[in-house]
Amino acid sequence: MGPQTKPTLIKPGKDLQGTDNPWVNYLLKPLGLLAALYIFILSITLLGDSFKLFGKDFAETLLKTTSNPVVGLFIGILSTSVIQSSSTTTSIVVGMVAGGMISIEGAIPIVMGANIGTTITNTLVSMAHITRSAEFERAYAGAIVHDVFNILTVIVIFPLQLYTNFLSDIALWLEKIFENAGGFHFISPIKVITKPVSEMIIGLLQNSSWICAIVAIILLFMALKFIVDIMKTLVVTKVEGFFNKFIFKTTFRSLILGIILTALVQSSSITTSLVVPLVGAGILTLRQIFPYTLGANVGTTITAIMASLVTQDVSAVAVAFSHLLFNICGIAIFLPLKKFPIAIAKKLSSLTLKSRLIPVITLVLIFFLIPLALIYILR
Amino acid sequence: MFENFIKLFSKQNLLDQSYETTVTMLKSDLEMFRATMDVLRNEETAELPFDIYQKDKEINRFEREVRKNVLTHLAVSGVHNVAAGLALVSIVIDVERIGDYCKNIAELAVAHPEKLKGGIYETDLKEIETKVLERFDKIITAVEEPNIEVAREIMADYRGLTRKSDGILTDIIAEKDKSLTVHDAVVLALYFRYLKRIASHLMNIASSVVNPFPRIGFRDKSLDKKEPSDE
Repeated sequence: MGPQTKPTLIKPGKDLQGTDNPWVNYLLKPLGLLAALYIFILSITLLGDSFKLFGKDFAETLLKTTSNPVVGLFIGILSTSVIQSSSTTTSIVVGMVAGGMISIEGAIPIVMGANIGTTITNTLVSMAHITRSAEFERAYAGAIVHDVFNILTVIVIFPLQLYTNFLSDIALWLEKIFENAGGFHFISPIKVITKPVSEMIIGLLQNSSWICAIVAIILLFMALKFIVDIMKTLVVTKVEGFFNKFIFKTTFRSLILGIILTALVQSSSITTSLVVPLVGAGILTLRQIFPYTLGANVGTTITAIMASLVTQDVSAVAVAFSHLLFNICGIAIFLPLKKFPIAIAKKLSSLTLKSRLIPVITLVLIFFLIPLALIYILR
Repeated sequence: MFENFIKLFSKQNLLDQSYETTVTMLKSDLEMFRATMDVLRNEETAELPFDIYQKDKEINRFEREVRKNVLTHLAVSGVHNVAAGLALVSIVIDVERIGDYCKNIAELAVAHPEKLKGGIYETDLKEIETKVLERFDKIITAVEEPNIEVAREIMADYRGLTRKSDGILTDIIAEKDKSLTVHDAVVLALYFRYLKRIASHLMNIASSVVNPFPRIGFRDKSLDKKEPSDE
């Protein structure tokens, strides 16, 4: 029977060509996941080792550049907008901190920027609805409510961090608790299996700092892409029943779903993008998905925490914890005040009815032009 | 609340659930059809064993649920099952329409509480009723399993039934049976029309089991060798 005559109604669960194959689900995918996790840990170790090879002059230049927190913030936005993964940005930052390339104070604004930059993905997903006005208005609001929350959080927390340094202080305090509880001893065996391989790669690449760093970043990209793809098929398809009114009925359930699902999938871009078409179709409301997107912000910090623990560097762990703290602070402030980000998102999305160019221009301005211009002016 | 959580952890994904909901809807349609046909043709009252409007509302709710679940499944789990999802969304429209026609038959029974007799068309009417009932049983099997051969049987038999129904309708309008009162003739004409519409919707559903997505609602191409196309 050729493709033209294939019947449409295939009973779900009877098709073993796709994700229902038990060999793929229970053997190949977990093995692939373990391999990807190993490459992720190796890439972070290699990244930290590579940065140590760069030398004092390069480190000083980079430290000087990122010493301006505003520049750091916009570097975070721009780099994450380009690679569409805050986990990758924060993991690279953690590796750089471990390698002594940037300070904790310089890293925190980049991490804050990464939070904003990562929302570009769901905004792009909402653009798929652009040809249907009412649907696009809802989908766009569902996407930018995340952007609005992140921008508002930065507006409040960034100056506070600048003047009080409270995020790094609390993060260092948390790191001490973690260290005293023997956290690093738990992680050290992992380093045993990655450090020799990292040293071997550096040796093979003849101690070239740039090539080693590029190889580490490529490995990091590949590993995260694999982890996200495998976890998406293992987890997301199994929890699709959660995307209903029952789970999204209360703020708490919605928030917890966002945290757990994103921590498992390790990509807030994926989990927040999932709900955009559902908001566009009117199945979920903005009020229902708002706590979920905030939860996704918390869940996504797990990747940088894992990366920092691999480095066993106090400052790197503190940066990863500060990412988590920053998001918790944002939730503490704007979850009770949710009507403000929701109202702003609704207002912005209503502008799409006037012109469909507005969201496109806003996207280019927020994620690319403004960061580029400010980095150029302030560097 | 606990029950809701258990449901969430059930092995079925939303497409599986939609599939089962569609079969449940078809079984409800069959129950409605049997009951309404019975009160119109065999009873002196229009009293049904259930509230048909409530039943119709339930089918409408199921239709919305299937649409919502299919959309959520495709948005969350990707487009692997897109054709089956779209087919289900298409099928539930037909299932819901059948429910509406059953409701219309119940309304005919209210307007015509005494037993409806077919006059000179009685034999043909009984034959059409039997065929529609058989198709109902077959379509449930065809969708539930799913069974392409059974679905093909429904599609193969469709033309004969519609031609007969249309022919009788023309005869009623032409007043071929002078013994029929206007009251009976109107009810009979409408009843024939509703039976034909129900058979057509059952054919559409069967086509989704047999045909690829663009040909849902159209004839089975393999039958074209036997008969000229009706498209």
